[in-house]
Amino acid sequence: MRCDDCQLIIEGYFDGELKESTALRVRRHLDGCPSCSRLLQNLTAEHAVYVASRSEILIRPDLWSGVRSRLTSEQQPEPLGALERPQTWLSSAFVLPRISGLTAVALVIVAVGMTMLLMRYLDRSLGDRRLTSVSESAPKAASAMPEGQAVPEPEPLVAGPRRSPEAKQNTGTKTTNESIVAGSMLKRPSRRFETIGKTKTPEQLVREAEQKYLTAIAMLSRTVERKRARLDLATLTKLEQALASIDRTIADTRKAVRQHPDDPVAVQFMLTAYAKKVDVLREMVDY
Amino acid sequence: MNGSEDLIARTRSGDQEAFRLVFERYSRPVLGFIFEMVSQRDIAEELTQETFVRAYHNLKHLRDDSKFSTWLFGIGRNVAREWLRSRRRENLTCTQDIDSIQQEHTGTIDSPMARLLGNELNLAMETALQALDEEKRVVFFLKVLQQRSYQEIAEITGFSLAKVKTELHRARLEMRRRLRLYLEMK
Amino acid sequence: MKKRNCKVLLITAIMLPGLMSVFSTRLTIAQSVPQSPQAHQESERHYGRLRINAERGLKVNLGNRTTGRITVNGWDRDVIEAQSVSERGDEVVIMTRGGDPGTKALFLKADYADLDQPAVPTSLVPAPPLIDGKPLKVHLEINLPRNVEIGLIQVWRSEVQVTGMKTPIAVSGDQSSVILKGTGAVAVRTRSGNVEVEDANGTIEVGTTSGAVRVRNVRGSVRVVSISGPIEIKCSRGSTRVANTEAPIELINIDGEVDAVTTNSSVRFAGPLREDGRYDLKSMSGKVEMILPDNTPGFDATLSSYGGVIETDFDLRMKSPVSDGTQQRRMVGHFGNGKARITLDSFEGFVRLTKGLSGSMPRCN
Repeated sequence: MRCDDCQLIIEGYFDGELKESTALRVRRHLDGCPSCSRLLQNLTAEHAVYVASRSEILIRPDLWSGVRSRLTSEQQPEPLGALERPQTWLSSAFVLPRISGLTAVALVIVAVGMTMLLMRYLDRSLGDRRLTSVSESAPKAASAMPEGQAVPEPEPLVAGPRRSPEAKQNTGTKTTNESIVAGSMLKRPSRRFETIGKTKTPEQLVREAEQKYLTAIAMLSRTVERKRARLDLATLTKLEQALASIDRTIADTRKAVRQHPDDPVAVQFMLTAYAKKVDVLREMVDY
Repeated sequence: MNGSEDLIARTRSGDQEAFRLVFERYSRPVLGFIFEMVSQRDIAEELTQETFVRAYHNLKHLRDDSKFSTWLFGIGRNVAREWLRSRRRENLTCTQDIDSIQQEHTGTIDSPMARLLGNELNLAMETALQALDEEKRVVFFLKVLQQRSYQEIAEITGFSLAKVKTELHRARLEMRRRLRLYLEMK
Repeated sequence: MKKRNCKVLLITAIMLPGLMSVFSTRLTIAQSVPQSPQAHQESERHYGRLRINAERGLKVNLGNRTTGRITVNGWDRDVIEAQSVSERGDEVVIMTRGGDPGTKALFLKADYADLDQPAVPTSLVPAPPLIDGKPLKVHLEINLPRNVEIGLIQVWRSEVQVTGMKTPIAVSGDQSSVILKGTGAVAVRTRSGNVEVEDANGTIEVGTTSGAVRVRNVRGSVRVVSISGPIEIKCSRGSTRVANTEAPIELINIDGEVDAVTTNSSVRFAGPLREDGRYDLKSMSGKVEMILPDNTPGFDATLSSYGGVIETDFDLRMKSPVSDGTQQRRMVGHFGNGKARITLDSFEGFVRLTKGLSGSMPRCN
């Protein structure tokens, strides 16, 4: 690629609007051309200045009230005429409700989950389990995570509930109980809780949070892969569509966060999208 | 789930709370966009309200829910342009010239500048943006400050893709010229 | 020819209503959007205390040339009082009137007095006076009638304090700390400035990157989003939605629906439940804890943790624990009248639903 050709399309390259093959050619040219690279660097620097120099616009609390009052005052349904009423009734009877793909998937998950639970209930009897309390003076169970300290190695697998070995009798009005502690199945790598907030930039914290979700998603995906054979094709298709939709949301929100790493709302949209993906995968694992 | 498409579907079935969430999600970028076109906060707020009211009543005409954002901005642009046209008909100017912007910076009311306390770069940026003609300003704002794709900008503005690229390139040249003192060129 | 005329007539007949609706919409816009002739603006510089009669329909905008504080007190008089002060004593208040004929606006800004010209202290000072090598801080103090509308207060480092104003307050600051007491609805955005809201009536919306947020004794829905600033909401009447990435969330005595989510830190709720309330507390890797009084009438609870521990003090009537025999990931149970709905979830962390003595639970004032 010649410099003239590169310079004609370098803005498109910077904007991410070129076809993959063209972008690749530009990239290769930039690797060996200092003057075109400089152009790209200038574009990048310019962009950073423009974005940094914008002050955020704030929404007044009563802006929505104005919209709402207009919607309420403009939304006076006209009485149906004699002919319109049966027509409307008939048309509503035959029109399928519009629901989004995600809602459809959520309904499928709920239906499948309820069927499974009903089948399990019918298969085995469930007695009431009495969950007992930990006395206040008892030291925390071994698998609890005191804040600010290293995460202990996870508990070995246990069959059903077990008692905390260090539960103590309580005095006073609280009843003395023992805890039932659910063991952990995961082999977590040990990690240290790092100092929160003060020594890390918001971007670093957000990246760490994102990484946490990605790790969980990877782990759950591996488990889901093993259970794939148990799912019927229709359910699998719907769930994969749901995941694809969530992935698109993640991609869009990530883009917004990259532009505005300090914006807590943008960050939260992105993390909520990741959390949704984790929730869907967990449902699939529990299926 | 509160994805945009889900919220829009719920709004169509009369769920005003869902529309409020849509409003929360999009009101800030829409207000920023309209503000860039009309330069007056109060007017921008009223036009933003009008945009959402129109969007609510016309949701049935939106064919592809995934294009809601583009569609909404298109409404916002039309609303702003209608207002600008009505003011031009009455021979009133609303875009501010550079002198008046700088004058406002020393402490007048209700202007973008009055709120930027002595930040020279903000002032220069705003001045340079206001000096662009409407088409360049809209394209620049949507691409550089709202990170829209060329295709989305074309859909919002009604321009062809070629025009979007041309206006953006020219806007960048003009902004670079006006802000050259602030941009670190290597 | 006849056929062609019919077609033209038909097309026109179809398009005519559409064209009419477009024109009528444009007419509506032209009528509904207020005309805005160029604003007429007059600026005055005042040294010392300034008093202005508060006209009906007035909107006040505030600013500060320095990083000094902006303090607004609502009072019951019909007069606006403004004063600018610093270590040196009195400074200058710039007052600018103007706005469209239909609305009245007043802009008040603190500025430096020219103390080198005692006869004309209101002269413009080109460069900030320095104290210990730093620009002098000038504070703006305003007394306003409680029902006067205040425009968006946009600051960088100036602290903002507003007390006793019944109108909505909007503040955009970067490092500014914001303290709002006894106000109407609130919208605040800061980067690292702390935010405190107390005794507010109306929707509270706060967004911050790393500032700490504290909201107390409010009546209205609360929405707070942060990345790494700790959040505390206490004694709120209204739905509460809180989201954080890397700092704890503490909710105490919330009388409304609760939705709290965080990624790397803990969520803690203490206080009584509304009988039909919904409470969703969620963390990716942090602790999720709910402490309810021992005389709680009842709730339906879903406690889940994919990789952590689930504990509860309550005698739940189990509906359906999800377990594959080796690990209990979810407990769904019913207590008492089962009216409130609780969902506590942490992917990796500790989930705990405990009883507190009703006498020792935190109280609201």
